[in-house]
Formats: sequence, structure tokens, C-alpha cells
Amino acid sequence: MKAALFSTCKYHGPALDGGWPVPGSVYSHEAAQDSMQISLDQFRLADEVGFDWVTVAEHHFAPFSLTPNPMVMAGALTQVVKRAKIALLGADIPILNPIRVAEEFAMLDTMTGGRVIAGMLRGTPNEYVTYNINPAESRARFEEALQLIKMAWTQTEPFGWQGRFYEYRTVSIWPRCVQAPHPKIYMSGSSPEAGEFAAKNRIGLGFAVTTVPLAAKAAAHYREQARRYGWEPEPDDIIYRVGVHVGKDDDEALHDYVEGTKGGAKVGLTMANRALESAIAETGYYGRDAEMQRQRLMPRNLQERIDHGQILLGGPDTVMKQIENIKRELGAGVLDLTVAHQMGAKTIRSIELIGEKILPQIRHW
Amino acid sequence: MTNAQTTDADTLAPHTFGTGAPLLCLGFADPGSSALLQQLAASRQVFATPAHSAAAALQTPASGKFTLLAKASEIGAALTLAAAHPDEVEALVLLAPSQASVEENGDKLAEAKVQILLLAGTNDNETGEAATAFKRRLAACHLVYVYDAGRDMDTERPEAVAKVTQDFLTRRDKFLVSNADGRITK
Repeated sequence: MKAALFSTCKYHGPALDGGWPVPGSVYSHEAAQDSMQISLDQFRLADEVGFDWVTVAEHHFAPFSLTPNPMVMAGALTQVVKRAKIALLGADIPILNPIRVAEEFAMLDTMTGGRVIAGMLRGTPNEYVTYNINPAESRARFEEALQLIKMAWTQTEPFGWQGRFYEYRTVSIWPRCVQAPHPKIYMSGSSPEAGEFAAKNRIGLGFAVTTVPLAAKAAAHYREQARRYGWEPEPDDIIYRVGVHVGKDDDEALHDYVEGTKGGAKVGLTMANRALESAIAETGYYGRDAEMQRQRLMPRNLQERIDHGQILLGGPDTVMKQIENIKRELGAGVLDLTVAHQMGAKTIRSIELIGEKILPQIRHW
Repeated sequence: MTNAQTTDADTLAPHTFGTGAPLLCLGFADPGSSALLQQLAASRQVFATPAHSAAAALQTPASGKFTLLAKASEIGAALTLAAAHPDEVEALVLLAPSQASVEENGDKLAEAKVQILLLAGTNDNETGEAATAFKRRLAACHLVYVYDAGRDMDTERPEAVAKVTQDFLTRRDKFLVSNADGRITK
């Protein structure tokens, strides 16, 4: 089993938190700079203590994440992370220029000597407002953009593209990917449609902002669909993103986590603006299993999050048991561990404990 | 190229419709009901022959300049015609190349001097390597993928094929700057 350290590069300073988008009226650029440096330091540490990947992601218009373009953060990481793979989970490709995405991934793959993981996501529903893209077109745009990106990576002759959403008369990207034919691709997979598309196209699947039972159900659907297309997903084809804080024992971990996260937002980006979320739902964004998709976005209290496998919290032994449960229920081969970014020395200690006590054990699973 | 009128009784005679510069179309089994050809006929005089009458079309001497649109198995015939009438054939549009068409037309590909638009469907399993091979061998070839279409891209996505084809036929190499939205004003 592999482990990744994920950070949204959360802003750690004064902000009018809550709602989406979040105003910048009390923004501190010093705090933002410090927050980015803290993330870089944590990623460097993760590389040193043995994490297999480090992960960045795309989110907009909120202090929850200071990486609206994760490619920029990944560019910085190429100079900091010397061994681990750099995962972008991901680029929100339906709202972006696919050729630009292909170019940026190829740059990063070149700068790292082939250590890039290419997450291609639809993004959270609110992201569609960011660049004014029709949410109803999300899935169709995603599928076309992904095919175009793969073509840009693999076609060595200049080519044009006459698509439904994208039209280019000539494409020939430089630099080109180191990994052949291209970096490993993952997409988000909570909906049945996503599992079916991933299975058909032999793409890895990542689960985030969900629960172990919901992810297990979706993973089973993915495997079933993959068998229809004549292949069997490997454990590494499934990523499960989960919050984490490890202390020397359960009491310390719980106490430190509760204290350290008191001031943070209690709801995710999408549910922070219910009117916006509701409007996006009305476009058909969620697909045929809309109620379950919306259900997984609902805020939960800490005990519910622990019980549903949304956070690994405790001493090393307790966290190992929680990871065993994820492995057993879901068969995930990659854990994308979201650290409680803002807890200073306690976050650092948590990363070190994972490196010392957890990674050596799960590496052999 | 003869200017024969459409007659259902004479299957060897080209179907002719539309107005504008002449466009000889090869490989369309039922030209009269082709959505693609109907759209192209908005700005071209279309001479269309079904696959089995392509040879007859080749025997008719061309008079004046014209462009050629050929589908799949008629790609070789189009290349032959372009080689035989270099002063008349102004441009080629080739749809759905296959590996067989590359192998059968190796010499013609090397000799082709005319500007070519090569269209390949992203769902066409036969065209992947062939499109790349065509592009490598044809110096003046523009390869464009038609997304979500297979070998029958002219029936699956006629509007997409017509859009890029019209722009290429009108502006040749300059089509690299798309004018689909009318951005070229001078």
C-alpha cells in the first residue's frame, strides 16, 4: 500500500471564513506567504520520511486552498521533493484549456524525470462558477478534454481537433512527457458514471469527500465494470483520500486535533453556498445518482467522520486499525492523507509519526 | 469533369447539386441524402459519385480547377486523380484513412504536392496509426481529429466535418487560424 501526503495549502491567517466565495477584505499576504512555505516544508518532510507521493489539488476563491493552479505549486515542489512522486489530484479539466493542461503536465513530468501522477477531475460543483462553465456540460467536457489531452501527449505529429466543446487547428506540445506513453491517470470516482468511464478507459479511480461505505460501493461498481471490459483493477488503481492526525496516543491526538481545528470552516466548499449548490444540482450536474452524491458532501461531526472513515485520528496503533479497515472494505492501494495543516509542530510530529510507525507497515501490504 | 445532371437511372453519373466552386466527392454511396454533402453544397457545386462509379469519374477529363473530397476506400482514387491532374486539383480532403490505404498508396503519398486536409475519427480503431503515417509522408497535409466519430464521420458528425472542411477549402493553409466564427474580417 502506498501513502501520499495531501495538502490544500490552506491559508492560515485572518479571513472572513464561511460561505463561498470568501471575500479578501481581511486577507494577509504575509499569512499567505507563510502558509505556502509551511506547505512546502511539510511536503519536503513527507519526502524525507518516506511518503510515496505528495499531492496538490485545484480549488478556487477560498482560504481552504491557496492553489487555484496546482501546477504552479507542483512546479515549486519539483525543486523540493526529490524522491516521491508528485500527484495533481487534480486539474479540474472541464473548466480549463485541455492543451494547457497537457503542456503543464508534460513540463512537470520533464522537470521531475517522470514522477508525475495525472489526476483529471471534474472538480467540486462550485468550481463551475469560477470560470463560468456550464455545469450541465461537465461530464461531456471532461470526457472530451481527457481524450484530447491524451492525444496531445501521444501524437507526435501536429494535429487539429474538431470536438464538441474544443476546437484546435494545430497542436504539437513541447516538452513531451517522460513517462511512456504518458503519466498514470486518475479521475474522481464517486458517481456510477465515473466508475463506468474509468473502467472503459482503464483509468485509476480516486475517492475524496466521501465515506468508506460509499466509496466501497463505488469501487465495487468500478471493478464490476472493469471486468466487463476485460481487465481487473490493481490496488494502485484506487486512491482513498482521508484526513489524518496522529499523536503519540489516542488522547493526545484527539485533544490536539480538536484544539487545533477549532476555528476552521465546518462545511466544504460546495455546501458553503447552498443556493449555488442547489442551482448546480438543477442543471443535472450530479448525474443519475444525485442524492447519494449530495449526501456525501453533507457536513458531519468529528465522531461521525471517524466512524465513516473520513478521518484517521489517534495514536499509531489506532490509526493502523483504521487503515486496515479501509484496505479491507475498499481494497484501496493508495491512501491520500490530508494532514491538519495548521497545527505547527504537532502537524510536523504527526507526519513524522506516520513516517516512523505507519508507512513501514503498510508498505508491505 | 462532366456536368451530368442527377438521374436515378444512371448510377454511374455523378449527382450534382449546390453552387460555387466545383467539389468532386468520391465514396458516398447515397450522395443525395448525405448531410455532409448537403452542407458543403451551400458554398460548393458538389459532384458526387458512389464508390463503384469512382473509376468512371476518373475517366472523365477535368475541365477547370476543382477540389476533391474522398472517403475511406476512395482515398487512393483521389490521390491518383490529383497526381494525373496537378494543374486542376487544387486541394484534397481525405476522410477516414486506414492502414491499407497507406500501404496501397505509398508512392502516391510521396508524390502528392497538393494541399491536403486529412480527417480521422477518434472512435475509428483502423485510423490511429494510419493517420499518423499519412501525416508523416505527406508534407502538405493537415491532420484533424473529429472527436466522437468513427469511419462514418460524415454521417455521425456532419456539422463538424463540414465546418473544418469549408474553412480549409476556402482558405487552405490559412485555415490554421479558424474562421468558423467569422474572425477574419479583411
